[in-house]
Amino acid sequence: MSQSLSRRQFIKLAGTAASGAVLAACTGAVPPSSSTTAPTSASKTEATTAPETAPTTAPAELPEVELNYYFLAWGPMQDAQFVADEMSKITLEQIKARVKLTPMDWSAFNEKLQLALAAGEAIDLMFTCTWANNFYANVSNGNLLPLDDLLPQYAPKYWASIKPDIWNAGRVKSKLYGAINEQIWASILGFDVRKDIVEKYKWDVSKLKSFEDYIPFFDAIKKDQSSTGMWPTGWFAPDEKQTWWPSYWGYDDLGLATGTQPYVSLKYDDPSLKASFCVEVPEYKTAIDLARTYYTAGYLPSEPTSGEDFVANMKAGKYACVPINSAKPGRASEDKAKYGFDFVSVPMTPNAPPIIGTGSVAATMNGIARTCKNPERAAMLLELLNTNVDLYTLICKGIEGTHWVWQDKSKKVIGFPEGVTAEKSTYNPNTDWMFGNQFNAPFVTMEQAEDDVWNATRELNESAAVSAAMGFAFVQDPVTTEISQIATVNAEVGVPLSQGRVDPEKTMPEYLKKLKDAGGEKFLTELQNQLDEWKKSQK
Amino acid sequence: MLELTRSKPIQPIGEKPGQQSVWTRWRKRLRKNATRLLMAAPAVIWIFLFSYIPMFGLVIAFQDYRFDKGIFGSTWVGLQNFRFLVSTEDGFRMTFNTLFMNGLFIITNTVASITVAILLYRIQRRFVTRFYQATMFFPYFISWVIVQAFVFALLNSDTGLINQQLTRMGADPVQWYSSPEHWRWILTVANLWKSVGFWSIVYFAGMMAISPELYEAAQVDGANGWQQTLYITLPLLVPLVIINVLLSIGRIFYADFGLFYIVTRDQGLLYKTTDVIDTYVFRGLQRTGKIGMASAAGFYQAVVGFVLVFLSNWIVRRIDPDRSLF
Repeated sequence: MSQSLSRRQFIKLAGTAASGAVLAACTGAVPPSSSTTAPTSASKTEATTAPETAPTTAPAELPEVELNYYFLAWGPMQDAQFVADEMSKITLEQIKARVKLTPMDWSAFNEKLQLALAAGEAIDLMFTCTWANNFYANVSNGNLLPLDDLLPQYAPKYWASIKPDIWNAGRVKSKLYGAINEQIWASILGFDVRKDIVEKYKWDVSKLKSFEDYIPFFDAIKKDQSSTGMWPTGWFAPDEKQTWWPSYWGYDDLGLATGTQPYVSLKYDDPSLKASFCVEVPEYKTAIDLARTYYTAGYLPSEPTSGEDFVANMKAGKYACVPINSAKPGRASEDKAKYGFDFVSVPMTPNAPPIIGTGSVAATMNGIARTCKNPERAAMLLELLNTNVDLYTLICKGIEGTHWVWQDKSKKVIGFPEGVTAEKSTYNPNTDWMFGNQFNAPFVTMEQAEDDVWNATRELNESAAVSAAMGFAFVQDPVTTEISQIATVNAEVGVPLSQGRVDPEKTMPEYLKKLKDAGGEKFLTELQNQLDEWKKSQK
Repeated sequence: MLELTRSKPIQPIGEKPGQQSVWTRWRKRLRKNATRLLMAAPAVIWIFLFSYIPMFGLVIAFQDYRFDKGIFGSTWVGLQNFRFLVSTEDGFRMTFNTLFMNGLFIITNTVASITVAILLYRIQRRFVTRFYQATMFFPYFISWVIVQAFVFALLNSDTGLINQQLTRMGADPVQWYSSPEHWRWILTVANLWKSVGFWSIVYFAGMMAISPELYEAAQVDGANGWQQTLYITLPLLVPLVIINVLLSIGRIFYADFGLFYIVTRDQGLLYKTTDVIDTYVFRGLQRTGKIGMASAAGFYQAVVGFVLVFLSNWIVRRIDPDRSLF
């Protein structure tokens, strides 16, 4: 038939045209592939043969550069450009660099940043940690520049402000890649309970020390749910804030997690450094049974909500408590800014003291990206972010008068200007811990100042127990295949288990079996080998 | 394109071109077909830029790609990157899910959209047809994120509409997001709802091309509406259906990421029936950031799609050579 014949002719026709297009397009096609390698080698040589000019002595001799900082946007960010301009005034004077801020929304942060890195976008500084823009994956993929020489030379004050054994948390294969932010390093599980609910039900919060202690109170709220429409607590999607939280049970998760779902645990005070899957340790069963109790009693909605929905529901007063994995001093006022209620922050540490491990320190870091053309200048910016209070306040809180005003300058307390609220603010990241030393930040409530939150936090860090594996970082390259398979098993079985949505009796054995099928043995052997070698190198 | 080529047939193969050199012959043909080449150019250039040039990137699938080393500096690892696709039972499950669900989509889509197109075609009043077309076409433009919100409003266990109805009727509510067995048909319905409007318009256009004389002749012979559909409309639609199905088969290994990832809210409990190649690869990539593994998966999908298109085209050709795509 003529139809099929003409179809073939069309394909021939297209073929002829394509061969012509080859010649035309080839010339345009070659440069991108070759240029992807060019800046890489250039930046590398610059990194190694960095000019020997000291930053503070001779800023005038330096050429002006721009430093682009990519980070996670938590709160409103419309005025990021204005804030960056204000910051540039300070940085131009001190290090002759202009600052550009590139905040990225949480929902697409990982994907967008990976894409930007793959495309070779000029990123200078970026936020990288164990739970977002994965630090270990970035090191393994060569996205970060080593900081061992840069920081002592160009950020001496910042370098000296953090103890050497804490710096180890930012190291992989004994090379430093993560610039650690000083903040709460001991992770403490707990709940932020709404103050009005505490009063209404006459709770004695001092008695709430464990998940079990909450059961009678949650029952009371649940009983009134039909009239109040309030859930005892809520949860984030897909896998945050759960009863299985290693440090709560006295374990170190080594910073290994699928999302925020940890799957490896190591007893924090075990000198033999024996690592195992969470599902293999005895406390896991207790934790999962608790989650199951919570779920079957209906303390939480049947399906986890997305992060945005959670915030919206919380603001609408649908939950009595926010489960938190960092019940640090001052958390209640942070959450007040986020949800608009007065909270009582209740930490729970029934099974172990607060623990500092690699994962809890590596939870907030900044790195200098591979594409950075001026690594020494980026290091200088890190120095300023961690030591220059004015600059740090700008990036954390915005511009004085526009985004914040002094409530009490002597006590270092700030508040919103007239007519501005947490919702209406045009710049309020609310993430001091992302940008540098949090202890330089101003307080946001009078209570914070009265309690001297930063000092309390520092003391907590000092007094916390240090995990036996502190400073160890897993090199995941030999087992990437296994890790990506384990990710699916965790999402499919591990997460529903920790949410209490499946029967533990039946599903726990299945979880272990699936982990083994996914190459779990090989993964654990590799991990244990690395731990043993690390232990030897520490002596 | 059919009309264009039919009007001026290309010289049959085997004809002696006389004394002309290859070059002049080529130039002559180029001049003769200049308009058509120009018309094809945008599409051809587009395909070349976005489908052919990126093919050089396929080498990444065989490398342990590191950003700092680039394509030329990264180490070669052979088939290492493909290992995660096949080494567990999850590998089999996601392959099966992808093929089964897409197969289901192809069948349901084709049947439903032809049915709708026939019904639209038999409506006499143009205005009503247009109205139905527009309303059914509308979902095609709605993003999966919004569809997800609809689905969640219907199915969520505590306040979902469906569970409320079930309880009102005295039945037990269903924990939809914990029951993988229901999701094969939930996703099929969602997919159908979104795409039936689009495909019914394609088939409707195919029907418009059928000469009305055929129907008039059939009416004279006393054929009723059902017989006209059965013996005129459907047989004449077959070539169009074959083209569409063959093209869909070429993409049978690519799952609609938005449907499988967003509409299911990426609930681990549903992976048994909803985890497809694309979502599996996405998850792995998120955790490890290994571009090589993602390229390997893309390569695998492309190769299987290519083989499947050739295979199904070959089968069509065996049965009816005139109807094959090439």
